[in-house]
Amino acid sequence: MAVPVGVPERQAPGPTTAAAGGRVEGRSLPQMAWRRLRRDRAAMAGLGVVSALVLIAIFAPVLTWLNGYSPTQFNPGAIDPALGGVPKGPLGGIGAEHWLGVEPKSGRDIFSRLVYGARVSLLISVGATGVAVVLGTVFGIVAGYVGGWADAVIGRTMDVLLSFPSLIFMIALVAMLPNANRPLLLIVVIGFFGWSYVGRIVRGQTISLAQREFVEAARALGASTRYIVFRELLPNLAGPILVVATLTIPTYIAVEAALSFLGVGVKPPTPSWGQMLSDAVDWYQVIPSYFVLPGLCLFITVLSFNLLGDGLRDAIEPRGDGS
Amino acid sequence: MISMAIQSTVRLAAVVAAVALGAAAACGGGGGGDEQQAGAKGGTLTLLQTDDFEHLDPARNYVTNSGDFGQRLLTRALTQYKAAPGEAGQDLMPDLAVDTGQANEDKTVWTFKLREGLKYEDGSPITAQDVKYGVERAFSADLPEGPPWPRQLIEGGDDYKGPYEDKGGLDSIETPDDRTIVFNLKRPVPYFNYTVTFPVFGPVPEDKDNGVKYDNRPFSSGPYKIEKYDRGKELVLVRNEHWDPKTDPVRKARPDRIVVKMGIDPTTIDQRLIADQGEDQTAINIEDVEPSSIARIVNDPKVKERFIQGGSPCTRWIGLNMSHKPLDNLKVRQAINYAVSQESYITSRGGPVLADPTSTIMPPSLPGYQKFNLYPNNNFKGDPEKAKQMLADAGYPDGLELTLTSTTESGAYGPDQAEAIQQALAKAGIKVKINAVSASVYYTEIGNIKRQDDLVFYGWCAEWPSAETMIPPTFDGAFIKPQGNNNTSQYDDPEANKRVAEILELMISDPQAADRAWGQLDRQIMQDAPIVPLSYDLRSQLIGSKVTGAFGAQMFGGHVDLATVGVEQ
Repeated sequence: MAVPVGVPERQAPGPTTAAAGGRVEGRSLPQMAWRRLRRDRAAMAGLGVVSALVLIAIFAPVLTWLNGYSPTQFNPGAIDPALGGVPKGPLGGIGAEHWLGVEPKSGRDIFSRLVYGARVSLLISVGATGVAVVLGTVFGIVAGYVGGWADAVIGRTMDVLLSFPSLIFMIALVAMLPNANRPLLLIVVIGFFGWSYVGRIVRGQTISLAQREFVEAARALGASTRYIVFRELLPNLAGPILVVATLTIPTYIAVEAALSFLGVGVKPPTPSWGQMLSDAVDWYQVIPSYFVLPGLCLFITVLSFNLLGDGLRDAIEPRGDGS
Repeated sequence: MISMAIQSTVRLAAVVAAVALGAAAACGGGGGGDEQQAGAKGGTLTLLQTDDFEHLDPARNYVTNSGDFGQRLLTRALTQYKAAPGEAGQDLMPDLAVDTGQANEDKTVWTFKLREGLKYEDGSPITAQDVKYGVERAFSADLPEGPPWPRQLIEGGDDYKGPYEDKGGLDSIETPDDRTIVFNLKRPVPYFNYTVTFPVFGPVPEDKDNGVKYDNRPFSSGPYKIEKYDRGKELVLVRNEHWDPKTDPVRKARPDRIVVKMGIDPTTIDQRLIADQGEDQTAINIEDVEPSSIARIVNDPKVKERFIQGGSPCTRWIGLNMSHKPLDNLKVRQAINYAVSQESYITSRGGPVLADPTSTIMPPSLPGYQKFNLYPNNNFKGDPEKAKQMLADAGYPDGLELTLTSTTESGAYGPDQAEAIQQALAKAGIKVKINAVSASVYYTEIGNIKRQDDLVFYGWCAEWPSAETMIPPTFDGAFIKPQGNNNTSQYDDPEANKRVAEILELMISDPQAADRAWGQLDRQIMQDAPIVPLSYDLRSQLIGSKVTGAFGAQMFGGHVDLATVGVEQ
């Protein structure tokens, strides 16, 4: 609607006022944000843990090669069947052989399962966040920039999704498609139900950005919609999107754990923290470590992502600028 | 019928005695045997349970724990199993009848004569007509899930629709007088006097029958009557003053009150019984303890004393779906038999306290049982090398991929058990994909022969001490049906089918020879390896320190026999 005829797109990227202004301030914006972030100790701690976690997930095979136990391998020698399959030795079998002990009944190495569980957690939460961010950004911009009926349709769809009992629906869907590729299904399903959170934020930001002078100016100079969206809006949305994505990941880690806990997460024998917690519930009195370890992993991961996300928000949108 | 699968029914007698851990042997409980056999009366016995009883309506009561409760406390039947630990618990006793039944020459007509002085909870007399009416109710479509035997065995059973639709009754059940009942059967049934131990062969007065609602308040002919039944929460029994112990050779009826508390988490039940405080001292849990509680029980001598084990002579196995490639190949099936580790399956369920490994179809307690292991696998630990070699011989040197059905919930066929099988087969190069379905649809899912996966968990209990109720329903090709199928291997071997018919014939003339023949047939079928036998179950229960005379009743799946249990005051 706002695309003036006769202005070829290729000619559009001429230095508009906004772009010129952006060059002076914009180049230092990420740098300023990084500087602010570095001063935030909590956020840096979060970043440290998150980085470590990513490394652990990537190098899971190396770590399990070091301790010598695959996450799916049963170790009947490490448990006592006569006692209901409790691990031999104190503290759930923690020792030089099994660093964090073994699971009761199967004797699988808990360290190996936690390390591989990190892979599952990160893969699914990051993947689902990617789906949610892509969908949320596209629909958010369309709703915010196009407005009118598009905004109405997308807005109502987001309302429906937000008020939907999504966890129950996810359980039903995963149960209905028993033979689907579980991780992929979880990514798509979690992401699909989550994009409206991203979408709402992007829509709000788009509406406010679209009325700013630099966008008006670009439009007045005859810039195409495509140019405005990709060169004017998106770069300015990157910050909020990054913040929202960082804060979404821990939520999805928790959702994945919840689904696994309820028995509709990844399929056994693929290890998952939620599944381990669910197995450990019956054993918390006998082997507290079995219950505590996956819980601790989940807690630390979610906390670190949240600290990092909060820090990022403060760094990118310093006080007063946030909505 | 789902109920016949192991999950539910366990009716079987046993040669293997009820094994009790430690000192609390057969006579069970907190202390000595004899004086408790004499037993003091009075007090309140509490049953702690997670779930409500499935059905107490005698026409529908077909599950071991409900059977124990219903038959031993509320509804009498024509005959009954003796209340005794171990082997003696399979002895048949007269109950309402004066003896254990009289059969004609070819065992097609059975006559039972009722005792004198039998009364219901309101003092009215129990008649042969009431027993006939009770059996007829089982034919009603409104009252499903009971034993299939009335329909399968009684003449005219195929067409009769129950007393609500067909007021005339079933002519093949005759009542020449108030105290005589005669059953005309479709075929010779040498064990029919065992069949009539089921509560469906107990009396229901027609004027008290309120259809489906009868389940909430069966009219008692036993030593107790229902004072209050809040489904899923609480059930209270008080004495039935009109029950005369002189007419009942089986039931001791020691406690004054029996309170069943339901809806309690299984681990909470274990914790309460281990702690043994207050009213929990006179409580029992007739279900298995949780695997996570076993260490605390076994490691504490004082708790271990209160640990009761009963044999439940049922077999659990993995059915190998022979209608699927490559399971139609004998060598592949044999390879799987070598590869599976019964030990890790049993460990996943809680270890040797809860089940014993097995290599046969028949449980050791059945008459005619033969001990053999055609596929020795390192003492039940699994032999992946042998399995690999067999697979290579069969033309699968690179292994193969199979699907296994499990339940999503934990239990005997839960995710842990599926993973134990998956892991054992993986060592032999067989990749197992687990298809987990909700326990509520498990039997529907695997009973559909078109949709059935390659491997399915299954199990079966004999209904009375004869393999007659075990091998034909699960291995006779004639029993393969499109839905609700129990022949989980879809095994249809002409020779085995012929042998089944011959042995059923032989049972009439020479029961002992027939028993031996079942044992031989077991071996013959296992040579075809249609299943991988896994375990037979032992039931492990905890009782409070003031509970007396408790032992596992074999005929009720090893649940504590409620006919004789009492409490100290």
